[in-house]
Amino acid sequence: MKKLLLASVLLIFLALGCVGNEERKETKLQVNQGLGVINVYSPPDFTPKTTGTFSITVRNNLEGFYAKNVIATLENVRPFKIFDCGEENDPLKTRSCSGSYELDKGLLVSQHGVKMLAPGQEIIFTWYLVAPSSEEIANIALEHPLYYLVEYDYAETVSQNIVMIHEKEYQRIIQSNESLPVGTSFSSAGELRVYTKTPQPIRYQFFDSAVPITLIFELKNEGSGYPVSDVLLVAQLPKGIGSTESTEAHGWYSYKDFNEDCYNGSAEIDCKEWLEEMFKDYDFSKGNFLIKKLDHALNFQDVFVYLPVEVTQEEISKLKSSNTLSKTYPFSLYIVYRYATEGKTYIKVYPLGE
Amino acid sequence: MSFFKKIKSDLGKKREPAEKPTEEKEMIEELEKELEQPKKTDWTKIVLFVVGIIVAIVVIIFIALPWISRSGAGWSISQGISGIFSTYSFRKLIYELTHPFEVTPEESEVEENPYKQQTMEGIRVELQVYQNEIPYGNPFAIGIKIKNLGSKDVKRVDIEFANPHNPAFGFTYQPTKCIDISEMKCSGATVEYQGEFGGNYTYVMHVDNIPAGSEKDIICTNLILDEKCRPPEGVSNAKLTHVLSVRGVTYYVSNARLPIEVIDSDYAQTLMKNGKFYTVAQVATAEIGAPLKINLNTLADQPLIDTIGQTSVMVGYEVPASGKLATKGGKNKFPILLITTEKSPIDMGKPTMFGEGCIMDGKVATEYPTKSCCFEGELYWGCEICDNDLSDACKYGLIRDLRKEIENYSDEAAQVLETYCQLANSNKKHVCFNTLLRQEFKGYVIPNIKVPDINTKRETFYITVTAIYPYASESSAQIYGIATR
Repeated sequence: MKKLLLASVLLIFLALGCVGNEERKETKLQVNQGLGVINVYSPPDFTPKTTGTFSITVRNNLEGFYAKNVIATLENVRPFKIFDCGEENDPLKTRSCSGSYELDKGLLVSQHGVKMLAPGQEIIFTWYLVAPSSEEIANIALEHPLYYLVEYDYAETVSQNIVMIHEKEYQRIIQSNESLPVGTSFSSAGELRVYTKTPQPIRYQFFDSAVPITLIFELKNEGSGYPVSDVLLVAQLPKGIGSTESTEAHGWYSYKDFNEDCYNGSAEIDCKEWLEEMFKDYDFSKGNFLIKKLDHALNFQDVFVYLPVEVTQEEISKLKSSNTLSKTYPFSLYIVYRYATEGKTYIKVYPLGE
Repeated sequence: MSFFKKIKSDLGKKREPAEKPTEEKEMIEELEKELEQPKKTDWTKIVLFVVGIIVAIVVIIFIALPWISRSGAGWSISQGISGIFSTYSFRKLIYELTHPFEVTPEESEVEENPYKQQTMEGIRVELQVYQNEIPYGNPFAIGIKIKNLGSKDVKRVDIEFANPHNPAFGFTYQPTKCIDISEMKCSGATVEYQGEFGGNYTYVMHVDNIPAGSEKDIICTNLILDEKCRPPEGVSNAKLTHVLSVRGVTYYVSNARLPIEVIDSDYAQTLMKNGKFYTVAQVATAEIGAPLKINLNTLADQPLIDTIGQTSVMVGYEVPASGKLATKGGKNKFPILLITTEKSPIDMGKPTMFGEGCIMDGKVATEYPTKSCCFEGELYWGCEICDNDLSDACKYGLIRDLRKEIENYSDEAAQVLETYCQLANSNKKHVCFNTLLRQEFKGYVIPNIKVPDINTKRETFYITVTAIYPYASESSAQIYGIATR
């Protein structure tokens, strides 16, 4: 009897475990973070001329994309030194050996780098700091600010449904006091947040001409750092939507015709190569893509981007022939940029025991 | 028999058990016997049961529930339960149950760093008089205790009598100079000078090596209350008061440091553009462990932007210890010597720092009119030695002589002078010496600190102010002269 009871309880546990839906959520980072420093470790106190491990744990947001060319830098290290390549080094010295991380070679000893971090992946960057001598700190306890900077290439996607309804349907909804439909949106994690400010629903009538619409996006830097590069925007237009003469006037070009370089924070590189590197699984050569470059000198605290497009005449004709009074158009936006985020901690040296 | 006793007696009779049939009686007896026998506890079963329960809980908590959670399905209740068990509070509870006598790491106090226990004290001299009432003309003895209450070892302390005996004075009553020390003999100290000096009889001795926290005793005998101080006849029964004072002097070094945080101008602009540029007021750190505390202040919030930033630093001091700053006797007497430098890792070069030279009491010293005095081994108040002059001064002038003298008292002070001279000679660091008269010292300003162009995003350099100063502790005692003849 008891065995039967135990078996049935276990069975219930297992059965319930198999039928539910688990919603996985990023537990350590917010949606407005691409990479985040989730842990900083430094020795509690240094004594003069001792070596201690300083490390930061960097995590890529599970809800984000691959981060690439991730470089972590310690700033304001002096008067501390860094033990690397088997010797004490000035923090601004270029590394003489291959180092411990993929991209270490050729970087400063105060820097570490890896090629990429997958969503949800964590990595610990470690430095071996050598404390200054008692003489250097004038025999006074030193509390020294240390900054850690993480720079990386990042990508984001934004999906936005734009709802269009016929004027007749619009009037019916108003008169019947129903709520107007508004398209939903979804975006991946990242520091640059995109908000759609396009007034919805967009109204149309069955005329024999295209219906011009202007999509409005608000781009906000909501991360703790700042973009160091140009920001590349690619808009994917759904079927039935096309560009107009005004589109190019607002800096949007056909993907095929676009041939510009982008500043990636340190050098000018081919924008399209950069985009394709960041979105490896995407084929931008197929489909209706528009591309726009935002200069890195812009103030990314609040940038409005306008994308004038039109519902084509053919599309209106199709809607008319099928007497469609409401339709949702899915727009996608792809964003690429390089971002830098900075954190601060203090390291202490007590003039004891040298 | 009272009424109540009678009722009680009747009630007792009614409760007597009635006769029972024999079989029933036997059964009852058997049952009673069984009940009387002590119960045998089956501990094996109990242990097995408890172990089984624990194993079941462990299996559910640590194997089944996490497996269920990870199985891709996620059952909300199981998640909830496993969530509860994996919470910090639960883990803390388990930790406390398994470590009943330990303090959890969160609650334990951070171990006090011994550096923080250092005091702002120095040496303290205590005069001990064994006999308060002393007849005129009779010898007596005193004790001098030298305590090192600071946290720095003291290499040498000079002991001198603060009110030296003046054998030349006439009959006039001088209660502070009546103790004749010309025949005095002291044990526990080395006599440095004994004889007349400037019309007074002086006795200077020194004690070597007093480690921090320790003390040394000197016993002096053959002190005599000078007959000349005896009151005239007619007041023979009066008890006159005489004061004896001793003073211990040694050199100390105190440091203070102010961080100057610099940010690259391009980087600052980027941060400003993105609303991420923040400034804070910086706080100076003073060394604890010596009797003088240097205060440094700057008005500018930091970080300062390189190439355009500029600030001034105000220097002041206080003596929280029981003693006071002294004027050391001899040729190179000075009350305080301040040395300022930037101990930056950056080689800023001379023109960027202290552009206007040193300042004393708020007046900019654009020229050095007293420069020559510094090279003759004489030091006057306010004499400044800056920039290149310092290296010469180290070789020939004041600093050389000073170092020679200071070497006897404090290895640290001598080392500081040596180091700063080396820095000045190498021209890698900007060093400024300034001697300050204690009475006039109201504030010292390091002006126009121009921030250098840095080749990294952020860099912190430190302005360090070092003071080398003689410090004195004085102790007095009253002695009553007995005029009995």
